[in-house]
Amino acid sequence: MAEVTGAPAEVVPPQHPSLPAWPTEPPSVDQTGTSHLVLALGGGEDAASTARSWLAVAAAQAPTTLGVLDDVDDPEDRATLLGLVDRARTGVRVLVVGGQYDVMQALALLRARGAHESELRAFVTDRRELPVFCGHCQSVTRAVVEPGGEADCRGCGRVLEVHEHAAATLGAFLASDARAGAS
Amino acid sequence: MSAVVSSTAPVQRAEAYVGHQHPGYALGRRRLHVVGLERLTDRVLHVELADPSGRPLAAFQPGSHLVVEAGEGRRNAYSLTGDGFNPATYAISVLRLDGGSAWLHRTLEVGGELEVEGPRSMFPAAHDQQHALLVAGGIGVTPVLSHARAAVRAGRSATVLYSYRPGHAAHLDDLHELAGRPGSRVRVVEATDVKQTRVSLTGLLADQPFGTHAYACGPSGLLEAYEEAAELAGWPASRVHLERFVAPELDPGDPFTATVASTGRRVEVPSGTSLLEGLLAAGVPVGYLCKQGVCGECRLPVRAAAALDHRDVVLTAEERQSGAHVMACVSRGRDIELDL
Ligand SMILES: Cc1cc2nc3c(=O)[nH]c(=O)nc-3n(C[C@H](O)[C@H](O)[C@H](O)COP(=O)(O)OP(=O)(O)OC[C@H]3O[C@@H](n4cnc5c(N)ncnc54)[C@H](O)[C@@H]3O)c2cc1C
Ligand code: FES
Ligand SMILES: [Zn+2]
Repeated sequence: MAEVTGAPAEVVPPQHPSLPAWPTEPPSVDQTGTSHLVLALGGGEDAASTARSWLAVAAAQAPTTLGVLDDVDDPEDRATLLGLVDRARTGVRVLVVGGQYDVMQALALLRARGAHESELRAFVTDRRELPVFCGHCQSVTRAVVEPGGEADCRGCGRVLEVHEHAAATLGAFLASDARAGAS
Repeated sequence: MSAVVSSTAPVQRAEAYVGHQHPGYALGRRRLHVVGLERLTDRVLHVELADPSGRPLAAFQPGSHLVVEAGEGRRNAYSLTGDGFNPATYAISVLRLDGGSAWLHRTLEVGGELEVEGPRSMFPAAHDQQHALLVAGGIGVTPVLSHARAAVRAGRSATVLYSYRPGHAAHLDDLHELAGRPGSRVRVVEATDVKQTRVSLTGLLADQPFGTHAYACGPSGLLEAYEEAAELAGWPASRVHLERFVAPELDPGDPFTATVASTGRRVEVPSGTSLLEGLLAAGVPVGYLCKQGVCGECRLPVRAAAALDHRDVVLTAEERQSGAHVMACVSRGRDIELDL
């Protein structure tokens, strides 16, 4: 045991970043599925071409539905997405492609609807935008930021520090007041 | 701990931690009053049990079972048919076979007592269940009824497939009653022969909402058909649950040696004899219940083994892989060193 001298120093437990590990190539279509749902989120050509190649393989193997959405936060797009999930049957495999913000939010929605990891495959075409979860007002902000950086919360206006921790169930990076403690 | 019923009257075991549970909360061996008996078919007896002093009983997860004394030195597991929420009574339904079940049919009378232990949960509902597909074959309807009742209480939806032989459909009326309640989201599908059952299984597994979990209990043939149909329908194994009342037939296996680590005692286990029987014959105390690899009672820690042949239906694939435990009643191996 170490010798005790004076007041104990503050112990900061080691930090373990948990960042999403996106594949570098689009994952393959899971051929054990009995139907497929391909979701292209965001308009980029990269996303569209990945969706097209998934669609070709998936549709040759089992009934496949394609959903093309611009923005998961748009109420109409969100209703479309929920409708697709409601019509999906167990046995389906879901393939999601798009920017990081939309993919993470869509995966969280699918998990909330009971999806298991083995039923989901995702490919991120662009990591510019992050979903940032504010620990104070619980809103999620679409922000152009790197983990470790700062972003303004769209809910409460606080300046948030974006932690190196992505929460799968929230589909967002955890963040908290960057100015907390400063007076 | 041994499953052999002792001659002295059982005493309520001190519960290790009761937390905020009510005073009637108990899971240890104890005697309950038989407060109701009802013959559901010519071979199925429904038994209702209550605390002797009228206290509420410990709540349980749907799909749990009770361990019940079933004659001299014999204890059997029976699924609880209630939803498990704040129960005033425990109810089980016993199909009469030859042994302990026949003893229960012969011996039980209203006003009498029965020694029980548990409830124990080995067949719970998944927390992320969006919908339940419940498959029952014959007396396997008991845990299915529990799950269906729990779904109704929680306002959740369930589809029940009940496969039975005409005239032997215990609890079919209860299932119809659940489905018929106003606002009920329970649907019952019936099948009365093997072909119908297979067709229904295939049809239902192909058309369940996203996020469904399936649960099945029944004879081995039904469970095999169920697992096969679920795989063909693209269901990941994480959604496919089942409970076995009886284990599949096993071959006698090769002889092997087991060593008790603490004493260095070597036990030779011949072909046709189980590790459990070998240990008991050598005077090594091991708890057991079903002797079929289905209840989990005889789980023993393993320090090392040249080989392990897991033949139980209790351990998960990961637990088998790790080789840290063995079910002594059915599993075998080579040069097993037991951490006892
Ligand atoms: C978790 C769990 C839950 C269970 N829930 C229930 C329940 O809700 N209701 C219920 O009735 N049982 C249930 N069982 C089975 C029960 O525990 C006993 O195995 C069963 O009652 C037979 O006991 P027995 O002593 O009469 O069998 P025995 O007469 O000793 O027979 C032993 C075995 O031989 C076979 N056998 C004997 N006679 C026949 C026959 N005529 N037809 C087919 N097979 C035969 C069976 O495989 C039987 O288990 C459950 C078992 C488990 C492990
Ligand atoms: S005694 Fe039941 S699993 Fe071995
Ligand atoms: Zn905020």
